[in-house]
Formats: sequence, C-alpha cells, structure tokens
Amino acid sequence: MFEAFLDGLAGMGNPAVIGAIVLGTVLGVLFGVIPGLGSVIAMTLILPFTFGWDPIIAMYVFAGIIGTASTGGGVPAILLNTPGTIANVCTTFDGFPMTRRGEGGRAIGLAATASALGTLFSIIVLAALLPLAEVMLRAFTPPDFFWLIILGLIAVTFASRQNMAKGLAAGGVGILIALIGFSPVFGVRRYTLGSEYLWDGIEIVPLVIGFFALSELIVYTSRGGSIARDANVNLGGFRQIMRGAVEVFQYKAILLRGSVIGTVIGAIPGAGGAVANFLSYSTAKQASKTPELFGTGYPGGVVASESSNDAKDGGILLPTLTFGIPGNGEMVILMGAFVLHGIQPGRDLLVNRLDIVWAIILGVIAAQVLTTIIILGGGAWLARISLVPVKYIAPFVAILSFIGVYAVRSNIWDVALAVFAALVGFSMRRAGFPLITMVIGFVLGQLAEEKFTQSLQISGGGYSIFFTRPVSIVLLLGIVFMLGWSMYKAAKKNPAPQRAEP
Amino acid sequence: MARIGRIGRFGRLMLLAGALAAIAAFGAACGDDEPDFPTRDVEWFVGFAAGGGFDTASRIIADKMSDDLGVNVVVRNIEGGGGRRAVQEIARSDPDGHAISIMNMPNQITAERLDPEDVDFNELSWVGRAVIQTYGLYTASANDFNTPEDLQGMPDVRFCLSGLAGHSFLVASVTTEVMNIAWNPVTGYRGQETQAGLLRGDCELALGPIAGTTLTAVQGPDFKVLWMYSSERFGPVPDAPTVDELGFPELGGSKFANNGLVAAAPGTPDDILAILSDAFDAALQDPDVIAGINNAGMGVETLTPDETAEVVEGMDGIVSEYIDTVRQKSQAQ
Repeated sequence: MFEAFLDGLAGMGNPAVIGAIVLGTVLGVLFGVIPGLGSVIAMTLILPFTFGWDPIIAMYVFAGIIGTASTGGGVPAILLNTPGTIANVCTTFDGFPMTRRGEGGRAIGLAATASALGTLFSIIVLAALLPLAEVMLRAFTPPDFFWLIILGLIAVTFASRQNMAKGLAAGGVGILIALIGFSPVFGVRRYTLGSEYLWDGIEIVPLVIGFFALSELIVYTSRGGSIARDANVNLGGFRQIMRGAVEVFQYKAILLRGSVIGTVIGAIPGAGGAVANFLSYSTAKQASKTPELFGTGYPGGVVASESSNDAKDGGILLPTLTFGIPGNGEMVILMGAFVLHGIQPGRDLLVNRLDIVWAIILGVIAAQVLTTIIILGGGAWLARISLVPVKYIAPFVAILSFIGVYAVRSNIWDVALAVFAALVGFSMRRAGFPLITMVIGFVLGQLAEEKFTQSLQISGGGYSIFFTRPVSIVLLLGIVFMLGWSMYKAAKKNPAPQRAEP
Repeated sequence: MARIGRIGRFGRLMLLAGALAAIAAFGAACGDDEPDFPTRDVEWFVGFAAGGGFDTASRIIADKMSDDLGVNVVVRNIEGGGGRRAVQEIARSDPDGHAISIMNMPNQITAERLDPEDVDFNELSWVGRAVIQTYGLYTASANDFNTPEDLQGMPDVRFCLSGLAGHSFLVASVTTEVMNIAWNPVTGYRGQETQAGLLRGDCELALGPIAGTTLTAVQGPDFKVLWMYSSERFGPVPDAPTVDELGFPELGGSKFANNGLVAAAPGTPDDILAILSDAFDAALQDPDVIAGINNAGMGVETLTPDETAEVVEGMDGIVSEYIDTVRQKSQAQ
C-alpha cells in the first residue's frame, strides 16, 4: 500500500501526469463555473477521448475534474448569486451578500481555502480506510452485496428529492435497460430484437452523454440567453482574497464539522454534495452562538458550505472503489471510465491496481491545490464565463459530445443512441423523472442480477441465504428503516382525511 | 454502307477481344504459379477489446507479418457477443486472404452450438495457432481435498465460473462427467473476483487459464492447483499433476486449453493460404514475438494449417459429444 503511494508520488513528476492534472483541473473549473454544467458533464465529455490512453493518465484527468468542479462552482455562487453546481447552493446565502458589501474577494478566499482543506480531510480519511477495504470485501458475500445494491438504489431515489414513485420507476427502467444484450451468465440474448448492435447491450458512454450532456443542452437552448444574467461583479482586490484565505482558520469548528459531514454523507450512495451542503450549513447555523448572522454575509456560512461540498469527494470514492457502487453522477462516469479501461472495481482494483487508486487520490489533492491557486488568482474573470450566450456554448458542447461518442468504437449507431438518449432524458426531465436514478439503476442492474443469481446458486436455490447472514440482516434493516421513515414523513405531510360524521 | 460499317466495327471488336484473350492465355501459360497476393492491406479481426490478451498477441504477430507480406496487417477490433461478431465477420468475408481473424477456441464452437448463427468452423480456412493458454483447476489452500477421489465423495461441489455459455462451463461439465463428481456452477466470477469467491467460500473450485494474475495467485500461499488440463507438466506450476497422470487422458492434450486460432474466410485458395501461413509461422518463430506473447501470459505452440484444422475437428467432436450435458446443466440453472 505504502509502496504504491510512493510510486504514485514519484510518478507525479511525469510531464504527462502533470498535463493530465492540469487538463482535469481546467475542465473542472470551467464546467464548475458555468452553472448547470458541472463535473458530470465535464467527465462525460472527456470520457471517450481517454480511450487508448494510459489508464493512469486518464484517472488523473478524472480526479482533476472530481476535485475541482464544486470549488469552481463556488465562484458564480459568490459573485453572481448563481450556484455553479447544486452543491454550491448554500454558498449563495452568505457569499453573495458579501459580494454586495464589496467583499467578493474575501468570500472567494474563504471558499477556495475551505474547499481545499475539506478535500484534504476527506482524502486522508479515504486513504486511512483503504487498508480495511479488503477486509470489508471479504466480509461481503453475494447476498450482502445484493442488499447493498438495493439499499444504494433506494437511497439514491430518496436523495433525488423528487416523486419517490417516479424515482423508483426510473431506477427500474434503468435496471431493465441493463438487461439488454447477451447474458454471459445464462448464455442467452435478451431484448436484442435480432439486432447485432444490441448484442452487447447498451453502451454506457453514448447513454450518459445523451442523458446528461445533450439533454441539458436542449434545456439551455430552449431557454436561450446566457446562463447567468447579473454582471455586477464586485471583487474588492487581491488583498481581500488573501485576507479571506487566511481568515478560514478563525472558523476551525465550522470547517471541521463541514469536512466530517461532507465525508460521511459522501460515503452514502445517493446523498452526495447537495445533501452534505445543506446539512453542514444548517448544523453550523444551529450550533452557532450567533445564528442570526447566517444569511447576512457571514464568513462562517461560506466556510460551512464550501468545506462540506468538497469533503464529499473522499467519502464518495470509498463505495465506488471498494464495491463498484457509484453514489452519484460523477462516480457513474468514473465507473464508465473503469469499464473503458478494463479496470474492475473491488478486489482487483485494491489488490492489483493500487496505482490507479493512488492516481485518483493524489490527482484529487493536486487538482484541489491547483484550483485554489487558479480561483484565488482569477476568480472574478472566470465568473464572466457564465455570461457567454448559450448559443455559443451549445454547439461547442454538442460537437464535442458527438465526436466523443463516435471516437470510442467508430460506430455511427452509438451517435444515434446518444441522440435517442438525449430525447428520452429531456422528456424524463420534463416529466419529473430523476435521470440519476435511472442511470444508477442501469449501472447497478446487471450487478444486482448477478449477485441475486450467485446467492441462489451458492445456497442451492434456497432463499433463506438472503435473511440469515449478519451483514445482510443489518442492510435489510436499513432498507426497512428507510422505507418506513419515508412513509412516515409522507403520512405526516399529507394526513389521511378524517371520515365525515354521518 | 452503314450496315457494312456496323458489321465492320463489330468484327474489329471481336478481333480485339480474341487477341486480348490469346495474350491472357499466353501470359497464364508462360507465367509462374505465384498468386497476386496481397494486393492491399490485410485486416486482422479481433473479437475483443483493445488491450486484452488476444488483442496484444494479435498486434505483436501482425506487426511482424507486415514485414514479411510487404503490406500492413491491420488489427481491427470487432467486439461483440464474446468474440462472435468477429467470427461472423470472417465467415462472410471474401475468400481472397485479405481478412483473417483470431478466435478463442473451442469457446466459439460451444457458443455456436448453444445459440446457432450458422457458422461451420470446419469450413473456415485455418491459418494456424497464435497462442495457447493451458487450463488448470484450483482451490483455496485451506480446503483439504486434493484429488478427484476426494471430490467424488463430496455432495455438489461448487465451481466459480464466469457464466453458463463459456469454455470454463464446458470444461467443468466434461470434467465432472468424466470424473463422476456431483457439482453446481456459481456464475458471474471474473478475474480477481474468482479468487475472492474461493476465499469467502462462495465455491470450492475454479478453473481457467493458469496465466497472468491467476498464475501469480496460485504461486502464492492462498491457493493450490489440483491438476492441469495437459499431458505434460506445466512449467510455471511444476508440482501440479496432469490429468493424464491422474488417469484421465481424455481430458489431456491441448483440446481443453484456450486456443487462439487464426482463420481466413471459407474457400480461401490454398496458394493464398500458404502465403498467409508462411508469414504467420515466420512471425511466430521470431524471439521478440515469442517473448512478447509470453509476457502477456500466453504460450506459443505453432500448428500448420492442416494440424489446426484437425485440432478444430477434434474440438468440434468433443463439444458435440458433451453439448447436451452442458445444455441440460445450463437449463437446470
């Protein structure tokens, strides 16, 4: 483990690695700064182009994006009152009032430093837990895995905060899409309609590019104008930025709490940066002696928000690297990158490809440092990107998407699939179905089927295997609790009408 | 005049055609028998993703063949259906030698038998054998069984396998039938997950090519090889007995190895096949090519086109003999 870490550290002197980190960081910051685009679209667009690259280099690019987008997203939240990513919403509460007071630079300094420290904290926690990952893997048998996947799917559905029935339906459709193609387990073709293209199932790259990047473009293009509309940027000078950067340490408790919340929430599939962001902000406010200051341009509010949304990075990588269970859109794309580069998450990754694990960890840290420098130096300039009209951004993203989709397998049907997925994705958005649940259902569907079959084969067909192992029982209780809690909340929100007296 | 003129033009055309035919016939009679091949780049199909074992070996051999043939031998990955799309592509290619394909055998024969796509492997024009991976059966060291007799006394031994359509499933089916072992497959295990499954106790046995990370694992303390599917001891695991030594020579030889065989389209002329085969054979004699293939965890044991065709025929026979067993076991799942 330590040897692989040292090798990874030594490899960071390689010009290709430096280039990959810079590329990932620049993409992450740019897509983070442009509201609505974010890290998922940045990772989706670069994914096919990494095909044929050394997997280590590709992982540094992805790590660069993972580590930076929500940091970049803090800039328009502070300067334009428009969060760059959904995990930056709470930054607007105090960041924008600071800008209106002429303290935008101070807020950016606070945000960038809090982000960097939050990331560092969570990555250290991840690195400390990695040696235990193999023990965890040994403890997880196929029925435990099956329940973990179901728990993850339900957690993602709840976290989408949309209609639960629609979330579960979208997840179910995702699982059904995953079943398309030749099943090596059963040796039969399913739902291929006699088409050779569908023989190997639906490819993840065109699917996610269509769902995430192209459908988002349809939304933007139909809206027109520019993404952010307010151009009154008041930064207040470099001295202010540096003042903010140092001032973070006056809010140690908020910083630590935000980092812990981000790391823990990040590790729960589906919870992600947005939940961590709100939880950290509200907890900081509740614990504060001066809660009335929150929302008025209080520096502690910016620290609470920005430390948590970046601290989720370390937490969220843990289930992805260890069990191959992606907790959010970023991790879905990272899983797609693993597939593209022949990397198998789990034991294979943790035993044989520790170089990949360390590339991701070190990449996230290096990118975070680089982002902090970029944002401290040029935050205000970056924020102006959001003022570029959509009509200039959309064709650029569309062309990149189509080239990327075609580049992986040189198959024109992949482009057609991406267009189809974009239309389906757009329709789903309009109808209120969460895309992320469907894509996670798609990624986990085959795994769920595999673990279910394995469990029955191990037990010789007996279903009791799902209810007798200690880990399975704990996970099952978690599922029951989650469903029960959601029903309780729904019942409390909409009490049953009392029967009228005759 | 017009009528005479038309006849005259026709006559001149006939004369010209006759003269050209005579020149062509003379040329053919006087020229040597060398076919005009290759006239353009040769495509080498690989049914798997770039970067895998077969792809790596194909690129190493193709590169060397390019020098010999004087044209580029270009590797083209035609992924799909566990290698079956590439098989279909070569089966319907023009028989002019400008397309060849590597295929994992006898896996493709098993897949074809279970889910027919009208490919007759005996009709393909075989060029030779590119690579071979010897199969072995292994278990966790903590298990106290070692011989077929030990396994015969156990109720339903579980095998961790990739699926119910793969070569490992066929080998497990044949092995258990020949050795009279009661068994059940547990599917969905690939790469390191197989070893994790053995250590967790999901299954008792696993089988597959003893190469790459599997070779590293069985050379370590956690696993032991019970036997190798070969007639001679396998160098990297010299302590493991062969199936011949255990009294089951019908499982020996190389018919249960994972063979990377190379074929051209059905009906490729013999003289063109000979040119391809010579270039292929010359490439596989090159020490750098052999080293490259060995580094990728595979072995080199060359076969002539006729020997390759015989091996395929033998595989076809074995698969035909046991396909009903495989089908029944598969349907029982």
